[in-house]
Amino acid sequence: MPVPPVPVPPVPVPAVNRAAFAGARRTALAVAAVGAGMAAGWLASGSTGLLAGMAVVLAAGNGYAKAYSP
Amino acid sequence: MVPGALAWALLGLVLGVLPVSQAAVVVAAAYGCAYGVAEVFGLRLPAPGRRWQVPQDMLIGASGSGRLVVWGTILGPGFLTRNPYPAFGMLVLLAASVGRLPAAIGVAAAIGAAHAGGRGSALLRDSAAFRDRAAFRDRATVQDDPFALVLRSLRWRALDGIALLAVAGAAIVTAGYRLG
Repeated sequence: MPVPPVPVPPVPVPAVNRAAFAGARRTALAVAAVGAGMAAGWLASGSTGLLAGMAVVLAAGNGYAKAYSP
Repeated sequence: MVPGALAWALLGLVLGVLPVSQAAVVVAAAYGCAYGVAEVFGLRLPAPGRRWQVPQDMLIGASGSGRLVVWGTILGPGFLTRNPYPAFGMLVLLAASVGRLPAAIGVAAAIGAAHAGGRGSALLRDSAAFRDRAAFRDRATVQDDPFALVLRSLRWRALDGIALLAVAGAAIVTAGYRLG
């Protein structure tokens, strides 16, 4: 007996657009992120403490975000 | 958080003994740039790590304390299970970049405690959402809707990439100070 096709709901485009950054915005954010990191490194005079602090914050965020892994 | 801190402290002990701190900063800079760009721009670059996930059999039928042990020892440190975000690999590199032995153990333990704390707070948030759903049947959680879960995962990936790029920027300057 043939199985009836399951209707696939249309992908809501606004939701996808909200989820993804626009190209120019992504580039600006990426450049700003590298610049902010370099500025922080320069202000900290290359201190290991800066990288250690960043690691702890990154670890907390990574642990929390892991719940959103399909 | 305790198993997470202990497991990472052990890793910090190993990394602190090995003479890898200078190389780790340089690799962290390169890793952060590569994976940060890939995450922010949506390029396919799979995160390094394991693909294993906790089997359902280990949780179904287990007592509350048994589940606590499973969640705490396996998910807390984060080494054994799948992690789709490349920031986890960066954590190992940053722990290796510390160099001095007591500091390497301390930083690694703090990383483990923070990772386990973040994971635990996400679990508490999910369990609270499920309790709410039981009380108010019309409320759905993100976990109920696969599409919402994918969207949320995409946002976290972009955020993960931005964080990786910021760390890469700091690592570039730190490498310059150390090697220059």
